[in-house]
Amino acid sequence: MTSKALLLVSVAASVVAACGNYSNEDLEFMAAVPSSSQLAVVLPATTNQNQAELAADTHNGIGQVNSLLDDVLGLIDTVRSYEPTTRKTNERIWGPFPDSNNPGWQWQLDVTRSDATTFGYVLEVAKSATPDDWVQFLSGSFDAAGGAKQGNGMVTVFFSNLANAGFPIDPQTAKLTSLMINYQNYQTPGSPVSATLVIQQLPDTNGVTSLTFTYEILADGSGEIGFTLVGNIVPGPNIETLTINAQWLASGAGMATLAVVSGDGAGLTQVECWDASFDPTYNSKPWMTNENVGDPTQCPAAPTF
Amino acid sequence: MRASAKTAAGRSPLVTLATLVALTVLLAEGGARADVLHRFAVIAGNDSGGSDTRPLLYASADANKVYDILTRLGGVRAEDAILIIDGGASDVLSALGKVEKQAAEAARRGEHTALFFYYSGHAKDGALRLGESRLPVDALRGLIAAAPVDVRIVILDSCRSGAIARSKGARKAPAFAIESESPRDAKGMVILTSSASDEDSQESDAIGGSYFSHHLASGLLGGADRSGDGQVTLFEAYAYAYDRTVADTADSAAGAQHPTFSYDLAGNGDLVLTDVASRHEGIYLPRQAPSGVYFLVDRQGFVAAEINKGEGADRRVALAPGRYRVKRRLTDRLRVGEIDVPRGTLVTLEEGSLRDAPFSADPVKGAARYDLTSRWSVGAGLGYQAVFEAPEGAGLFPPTGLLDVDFALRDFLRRDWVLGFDLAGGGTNSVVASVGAPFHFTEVSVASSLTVEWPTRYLTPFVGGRLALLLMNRTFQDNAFPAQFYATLSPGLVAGAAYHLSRSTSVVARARLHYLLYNVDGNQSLGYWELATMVTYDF
Repeated sequence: MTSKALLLVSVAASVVAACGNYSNEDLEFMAAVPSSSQLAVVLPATTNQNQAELAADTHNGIGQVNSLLDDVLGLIDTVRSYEPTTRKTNERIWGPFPDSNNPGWQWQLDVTRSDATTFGYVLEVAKSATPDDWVQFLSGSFDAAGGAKQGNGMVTVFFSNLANAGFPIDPQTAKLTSLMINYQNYQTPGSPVSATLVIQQLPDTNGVTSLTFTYEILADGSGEIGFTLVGNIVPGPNIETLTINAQWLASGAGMATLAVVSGDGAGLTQVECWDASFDPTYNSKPWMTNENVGDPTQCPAAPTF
Repeated sequence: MRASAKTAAGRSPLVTLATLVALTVLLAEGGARADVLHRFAVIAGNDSGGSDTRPLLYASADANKVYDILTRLGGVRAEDAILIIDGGASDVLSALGKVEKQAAEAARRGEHTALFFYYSGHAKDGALRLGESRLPVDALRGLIAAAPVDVRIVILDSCRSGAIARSKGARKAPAFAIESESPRDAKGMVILTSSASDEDSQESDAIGGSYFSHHLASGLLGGADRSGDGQVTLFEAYAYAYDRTVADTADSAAGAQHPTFSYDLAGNGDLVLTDVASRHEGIYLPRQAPSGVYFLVDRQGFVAAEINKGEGADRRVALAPGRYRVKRRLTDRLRVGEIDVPRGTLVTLEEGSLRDAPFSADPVKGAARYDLTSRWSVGAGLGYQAVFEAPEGAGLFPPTGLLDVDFALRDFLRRDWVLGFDLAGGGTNSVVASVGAPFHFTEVSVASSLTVEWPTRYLTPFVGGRLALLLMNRTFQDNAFPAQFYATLSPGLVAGAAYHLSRSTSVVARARLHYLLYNVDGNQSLGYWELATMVTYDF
């Protein structure tokens, strides 16, 4: 065998033998789709049974947000744990993958790149029997203006599409129609991860059709969140609409302001502060003055956004 | 007239002088006859020269060949010959004592006696090296000089190492020298050495022996019989071996090898060493056969005889019975054929029985791998690898340190070829800059290589090819990114040098240059380089 032939055989053998998923570009496509942990709200957990009332409400609100993100973006996290099935210059496709929890259904994630920093993606589901009839469950876009994983993004989740297609979903999720997330995640000092979640749902027992969460998280763990509660919260015959705006430090110490927008006690405001153990240090609750404690000087300094 | 066949003018003043002296001796003595001498022989061959020398390949084979010729054609009876293969100095001394005793008894019976002593093997620091034992040359010469025989013929094929054609003998010090002038204690003694005192004696894989012994044997088989009388004398044999050895080694890396000859045969005349006519067995090259060098190749592919036939001369080649392939090399092709030598038959080689063949059909296979003394070595060391920076490849595979373990099998496929196997592993931390993702990179490689080396005393450079299976993996701190791996075969080149700290231990510096195909995000031809240093141990 001549040396030239030997070289050709060697190169051919290399071509045949080379395999793997080692790719920087894959990472860029993956980074365009937010992970649940990336947008999660972090407030130190507590086992304090007597934590401040609004701290408990904040924990509950954050729990709802994170649970929703887990449900939606966790699905993408699972898909993304595999290597792309198809690689094109400006496109990566994961799937179709069969849904092991829902036999007869399959999923596919398609991420495209329209320019160096702009990505779009669609998570679709289809019946295995009709593999071309994809139903859009989630779509989003991301502008990596600050570099990979840093920029502005938007995610829209179409719960109603799943229900309409006959995909088996739990009763709670079946009440939701859509979720829209607008976020930015510049992970630079002083620049928070911020997001707005708007949940559209079928009217609940209180007639609520829309819920909004807004939050900002700093890299050190401090943050703020604003959300709305609807219910018979203030003693009286009417249903109240309340807004809660909470702020906390990395230690967990924080403060919250509850405002009664409508219903009994409209115009009332409750202010509550708590320490790192979530014990109330100050509470001003006009409609339940016997619960008032402390004074405002015992509130922590609010984080700066 | 035998003297007419002794001309070597134009080749060497030494040979010419020897020829003239021999002529004078022959004229004075009226020629010699093999049958007037009772011949004894001690023949020794040892491939090993001890721990500080590299094993030879053909010393024992050469000794066997000379033993066969002397007992078959040289008038030495089997009971008067002792063959010592891989024996020590004590074996040689014991054999000499035994033979001298026999010779003394023959002398008492009024017989003329001759003693042949042939040695092929290592020599160093003025001593023959027989394995780990030493036999000082001065002591040997004195012993043989004192032997109770009329003629003593000493043939030594030994000296130092060479380069492309492997040489024989010592490494560290000049080989012993034997004066061309006849010493006072050498009356009736002839000494042939394979090379001058400052030269290497070389072996050849192509002929499967040392050049000198090979040509001496070919001469004794009949190639040296320039007189055409069917007898090969000492001077004919020497002149033939000298001419052919110098010619064959002239272009070798070790330089031309000049056999030497000293003698004092006063009162004994020239000696007939072999009688190829009386045997009437072998191959006959008739006068009308084209001139040139005829290679007579045995069934194993080794050159049994290499006969330089002159124009208009004929040659009897007293080969043992068997089947031989015949090769004569022309400028543009070979003439090849086959010939059977039945027992007791002298077969004439007819030119018409030969056919044209390309050089690629050369029947001379040389030393087969079975004759190579292969050996293992193991090494361990540290290396550093880096993929060449390229716009598309930058940041893919970070530079990393590697721990190397090498295994090498030397002289298995071919002399000075090294079949290598190596295993390496390493890792480092890096960041995918485009996504700011820190990761831990690990790499394992398994490879085989084939290199050619050029051993010298202190330094052995080498160069060759290598094929590596690379297994690369990285895991990210960010759980959002799955682990990634890449595996590929990577051909490359390797070069370096080994510095020998001792006979068994070396320090190796090595560089590799490899091709790396990356095909996940489209095909990209990347390359990488490696530098490593390691310590090796030869078993």
